[in-house]
Amino acid sequence: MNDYLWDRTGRDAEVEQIENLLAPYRHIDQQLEFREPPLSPAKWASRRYYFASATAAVLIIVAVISWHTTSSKQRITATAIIGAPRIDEVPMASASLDVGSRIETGFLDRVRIQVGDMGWVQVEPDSILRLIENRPERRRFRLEHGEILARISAPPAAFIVETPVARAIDLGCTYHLRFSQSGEGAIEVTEGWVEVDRGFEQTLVPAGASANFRPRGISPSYMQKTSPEFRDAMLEWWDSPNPSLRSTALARLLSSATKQDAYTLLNMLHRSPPEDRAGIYDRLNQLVPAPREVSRAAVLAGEARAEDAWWTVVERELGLGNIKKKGPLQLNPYWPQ
Amino acid sequence: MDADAKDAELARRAQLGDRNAFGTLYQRYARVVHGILLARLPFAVVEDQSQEVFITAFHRLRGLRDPAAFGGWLCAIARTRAKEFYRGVVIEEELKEEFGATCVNSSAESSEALSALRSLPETYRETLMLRLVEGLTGPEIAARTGMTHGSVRVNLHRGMELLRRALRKELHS
Repeated sequence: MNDYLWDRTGRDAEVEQIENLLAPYRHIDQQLEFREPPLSPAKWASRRYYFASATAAVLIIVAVISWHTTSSKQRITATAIIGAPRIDEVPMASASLDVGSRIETGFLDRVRIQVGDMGWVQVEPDSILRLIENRPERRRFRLEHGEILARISAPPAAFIVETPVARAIDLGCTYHLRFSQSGEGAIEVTEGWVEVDRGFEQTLVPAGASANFRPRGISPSYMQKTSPEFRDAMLEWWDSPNPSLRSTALARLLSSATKQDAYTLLNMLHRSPPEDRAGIYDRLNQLVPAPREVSRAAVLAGEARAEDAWWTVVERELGLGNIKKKGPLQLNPYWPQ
Repeated sequence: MDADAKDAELARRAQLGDRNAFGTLYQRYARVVHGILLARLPFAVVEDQSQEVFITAFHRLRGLRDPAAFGGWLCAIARTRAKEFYRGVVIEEELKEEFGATCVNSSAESSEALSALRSLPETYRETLMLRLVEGLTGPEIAARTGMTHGSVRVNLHRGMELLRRALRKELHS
């Protein structure tokens, strides 16, 4: 039986057409260049000349390696993984980035950015990302729109990605960050912790959790494995301007909450209006009982730091305390610019 | 002579330092290595990286215990080379070449076809790259890479189906 795709027997117009389209990328026969030719003994006739040259060569190599090691730790380079992304308006396979450099990917392009010795950022299709700060102690990007995947190992707040409405401050982690042209964004953390902030609003997102953000604010972080009922009701409670819809959403989310949602409820507690606090407190207390030092009256009254001791208990109960979080946080150290 | 010699015999002679034997192996496997790299790396760097793969193979050839396994061994070097490229081992060399600059004959349609092919899962992408870009037949792919005929056949047909869908998607968009 003829099978052109398998062994070129018979005809298959479609496969032949694709072959013709791809022909420009085919290997072109050429000689293999051995780039390490054998040394000519005549050049090394003098032993003294040989040792002097060898010493000089070693010194040069050491200097070059030293310079290269130092500069490569700080250098930010972008390389196309697939497609033809544009770096500073020019289609490029690879380039070094400077402050102000702009990377734009089309719908089939992907770019990997090596951020010195901190880690890397992958720019997904249909995205625009700019480098806005490059100092050894801090690298800052701005995601105009699109999606990135970042894997970073650095001191807290040394790597920051801003969007037009919020920014993600790395605490040593791996995460996906999306921001649409309509002004909506989301972050999904898979390793470590990320702090998402906007003005004086702040949400800590641990591995396994996500948070959404809009021009009006940042959602409480929620577990990626939570039930759709809880997640949808919580996002409606957070996002809806209608008090009656918010009230209905609150009832739904409280009834569908399970122990894994305790972190979200605690996030909600300190940002909820007074009329919602009692319901949230009581449900959270059923799922993860409050420690003795947390007073219900103080929490309902909205006293500052009233629920502080509960964070430790909730993080321990959900296993979040085992996730590496580097160093103490400072609230909004760099915002607004 | 070289043209008729089996790969294992050529690999054995190359292990003893016979550069002509290695040259014949290069001619036989250049398209395979090129295809494997093209499935993973920007076109602009594939030729250079391909040369590096063969030079690496030549220097490590003495460590190859079974010369009959040359094909699979070389493919593994090529895949590792592609991974190293993205680990920053090679990108530090700062490639100055513009993307696609050496592909003077490619059109927008060619570029879209390559993008669609590269969007496929790795298993299908590599096999289809060898078949549709490098022009190897299914039996040749199996012989060169060490895959079974069945695996190659499945990869080709399932991959082709995915490629059709990807091309249709590009056409609509």
